[in-house]
Amino acid sequence: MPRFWRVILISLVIVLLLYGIYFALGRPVIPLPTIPYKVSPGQPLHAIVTSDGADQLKLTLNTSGVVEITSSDQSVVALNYTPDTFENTLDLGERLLIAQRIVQGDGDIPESSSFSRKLINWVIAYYYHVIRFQLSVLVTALP
Amino acid sequence: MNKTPTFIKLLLAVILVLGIVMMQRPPMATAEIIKQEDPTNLVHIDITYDPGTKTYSMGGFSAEELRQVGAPQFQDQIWQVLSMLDNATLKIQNDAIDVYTDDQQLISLAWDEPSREILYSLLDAYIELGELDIERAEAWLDKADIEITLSKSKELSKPLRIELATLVQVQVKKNGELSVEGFPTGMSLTPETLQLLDAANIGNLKLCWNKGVIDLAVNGQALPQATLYQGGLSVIDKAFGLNLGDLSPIFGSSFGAGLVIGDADPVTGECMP
Repeated sequence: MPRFWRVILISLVIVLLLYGIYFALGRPVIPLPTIPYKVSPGQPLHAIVTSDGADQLKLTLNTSGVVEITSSDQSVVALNYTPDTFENTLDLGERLLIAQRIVQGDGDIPESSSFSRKLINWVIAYYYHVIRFQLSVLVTALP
Repeated sequence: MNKTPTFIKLLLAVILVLGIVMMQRPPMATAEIIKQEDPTNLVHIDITYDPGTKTYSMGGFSAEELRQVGAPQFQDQIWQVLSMLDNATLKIQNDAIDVYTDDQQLISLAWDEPSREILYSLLDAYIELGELDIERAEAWLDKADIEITLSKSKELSKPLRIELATLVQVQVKKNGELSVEGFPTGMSLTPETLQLLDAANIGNLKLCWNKGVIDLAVNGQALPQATLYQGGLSVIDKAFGLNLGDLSPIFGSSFGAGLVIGDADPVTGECMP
């Protein structure tokens, strides 16, 4: 067998083996490093971040279906989604956007791209079912 | 022996093993959701009153908080009656209405279906109820668990407890008029909002609140479930200066509404988990 195919096969076996272990462990969420974001006084977010005295607000996206906002370890609001409910939200948002243009008499009504919709839904479903990450943004208020 | 078949054998073996592993259910805990067989409309209201200061607290809200939201003040005659009582309780449970005063049973009335039918016919003699309204009244009263407790005390009343299985039916007519359970509210949607809903093809909406958990469905399609935390809500309250006050009674309650626009299909089902 040519060396190229051997490398491909070995890589495939390793990937499958690693994913098998990941799947057997119950597909735990893989945390990614937190992204810091600073807001200066005067910005609209500043008032919200400083409202509880902690001067910090954390937005966490867990691709297993949870979006959560926490303030000094206290959960403020959480959204639980599935690929289906996410698709329904996209559908509703698109319909409301088009309806708003119609009501405002704007002749330029955006065309809906079924390809981009399918791509978004596929990406959401992939990171929901296959491999799960946790992405956090820590918003800190500057004094 | 050639190495090529070994690789293929190894690959097949790994695929086979992984296939078996993936066919198994992921190791996660699954909680059995126990569905209530008979959904009940539960309303428990506790009222404490002080005839000395002529103030009352209701459902966990203080006299001051009630005054702020425009709660009515009792007349002197009512205060005279209340000052003679230590406590009074009205209970509508199962097939009976019971009234207690000073821990003694005062009245007990039958509240089964035939009794309610008599009540409906009496009401029908004075008010045009119609078949649908009786149906709605039965939906509310058939499985009712209502308890109103009055007690002479200076203490704050117990938090309001509302767990409604029946959806409050809200109807928006084609001209925008809003009615709740068939009763006109005098409020209406703006023509722009109606146009927007019509253009977006939104016919009905189901909203359920269950102790901070919000479930919303538009045209029968469920949207992501939102959870509001009482402690966290104070952050929003402070940030936007909303002055929401004590929301414990709301966060201890469950209720839902079905909004129907124009001739769209009615919202069915319940809100109980």
